Amino acid sequence: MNISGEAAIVGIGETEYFRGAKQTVPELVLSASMEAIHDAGLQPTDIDAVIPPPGYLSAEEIAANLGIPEMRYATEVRMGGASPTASLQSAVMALSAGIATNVLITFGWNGYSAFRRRPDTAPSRRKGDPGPFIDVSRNFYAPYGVRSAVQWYSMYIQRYVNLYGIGPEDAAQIALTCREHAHLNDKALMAGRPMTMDDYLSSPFITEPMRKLDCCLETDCAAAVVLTTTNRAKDLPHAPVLWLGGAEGHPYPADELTNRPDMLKLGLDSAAPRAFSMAGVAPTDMDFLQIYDCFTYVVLMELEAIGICDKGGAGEFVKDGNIGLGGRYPLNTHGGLLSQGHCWGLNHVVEATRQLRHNAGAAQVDNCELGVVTGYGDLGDGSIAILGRA
Amino acid sequence: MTEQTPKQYKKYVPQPEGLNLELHTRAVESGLLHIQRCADCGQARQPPRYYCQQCFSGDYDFVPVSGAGSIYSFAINHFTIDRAWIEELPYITAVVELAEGPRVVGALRNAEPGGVALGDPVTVSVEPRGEEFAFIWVDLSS
Repeated sequence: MNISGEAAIVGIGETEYFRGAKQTVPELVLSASMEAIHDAGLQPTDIDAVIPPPGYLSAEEIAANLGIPEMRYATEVRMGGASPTASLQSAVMALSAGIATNVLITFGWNGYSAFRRRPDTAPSRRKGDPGPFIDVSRNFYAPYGVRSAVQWYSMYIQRYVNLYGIGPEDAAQIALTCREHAHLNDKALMAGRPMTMDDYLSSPFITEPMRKLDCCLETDCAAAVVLTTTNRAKDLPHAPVLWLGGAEGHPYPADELTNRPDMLKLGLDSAAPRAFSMAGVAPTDMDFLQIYDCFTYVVLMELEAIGICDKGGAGEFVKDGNIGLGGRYPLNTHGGLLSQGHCWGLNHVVEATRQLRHNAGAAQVDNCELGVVTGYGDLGDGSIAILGRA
Repeated sequence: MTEQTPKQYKKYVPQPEGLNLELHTRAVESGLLHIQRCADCGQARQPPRYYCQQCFSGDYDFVPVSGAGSIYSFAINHFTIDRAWIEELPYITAVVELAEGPRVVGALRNAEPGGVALGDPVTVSVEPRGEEFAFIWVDLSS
């Protein structure tokens, strides 16, 4: 059984991207969800499955607030930033098996307001989600002053840059490209705020080798997508965007990153070949790349993991003019987590859908037919979706 | 007017449970770094797990190790959200591959940024903090 092409993305929604939103997380998530449902030409009563942002709002709360009377399927995907793209797979499974008819996937959070108190923010009173690797991080990382994603990932990125001779000018290409693309997106937090190579290289280290401008933006926002079966999608307002293949991958062990046989093998390394095989296409068939960009160096490793370049070859690949608009593989055409804002990568799915609808405005990749979206989260979990124009 | 003394932040000491508590208790009692070893096939592993990843046995011991190892990777922290560590900035977190195989994370204390490289030989030691946690120190071998 191959579920390639059995379901499609038919609705998208996203809030503004804020640094200090006045709205609560539920308000953000619900408004993006309602926008996606209406964009699909549907009403909340048509939705019968919900995949919510774990730890921020439950499927039950979403259904109750939107008016979804018959929820047949609700699940949570707990892979951090890999969750939204992995959720596409979960949705397609439910649709192709006949369990559900219209699935709502939504993520949102107060990623700017929740973690550090600032004068203009109101942290939520709901407690955060402790996450799937809390036992290891509390006992083996936190005692050494290692408490944040940039620190966890630096433990393998330092090895990556040393083994393969990756330099800051390589990582800079990701930051600069995302910033260029953000200028084309009215909703991007960094639209109209230029970044030069000098800005990048003078940016302070956070956890070496990662500088401040290697890190994505703390953001308050939400996004949502609606999927349905490909047959049903034909009657809806927008050109359906087919899910042609996808996969999730969990490095082993997923809850501890330093004792993996190969610390540089991400979940995406195992997921990507499965997804391309399912879709029956090659990485070189892609017309654009929406790559999860929590950190620039992680993008370089993901480009290698999806097979668009060799191990250690991402530095050369991104310097060859490949990844800008007009290049062979435009990357993060919305500005990404680095320069649009951090919506767990569901904003990458939303952008891929706009591109394949040929509705991406100034960032449109001409005549695109196929694109890839990746997700990355927790201690290296990975997810991927290959999307195509029907 | 009274002088305000800056608030002192204490370094976080975890409260391990289960296997992690067993591991730390052995290290605290002996003052030696320990790791878990499969009682059947002898595979050494870190962090402790309930079943052996190699032979799936549920029997295990905790054994002292030499502390000899090499730098497998490291992170140079120039910023921290942990206020107890601010005065240490920049501090280096080392991932050490022990001679016995498993890797441990610890604080590298005798090197500056730029003074450490993959493969550098190191010695790992523990310092008990309370009765339930042994902090891991890493020193570059001279």
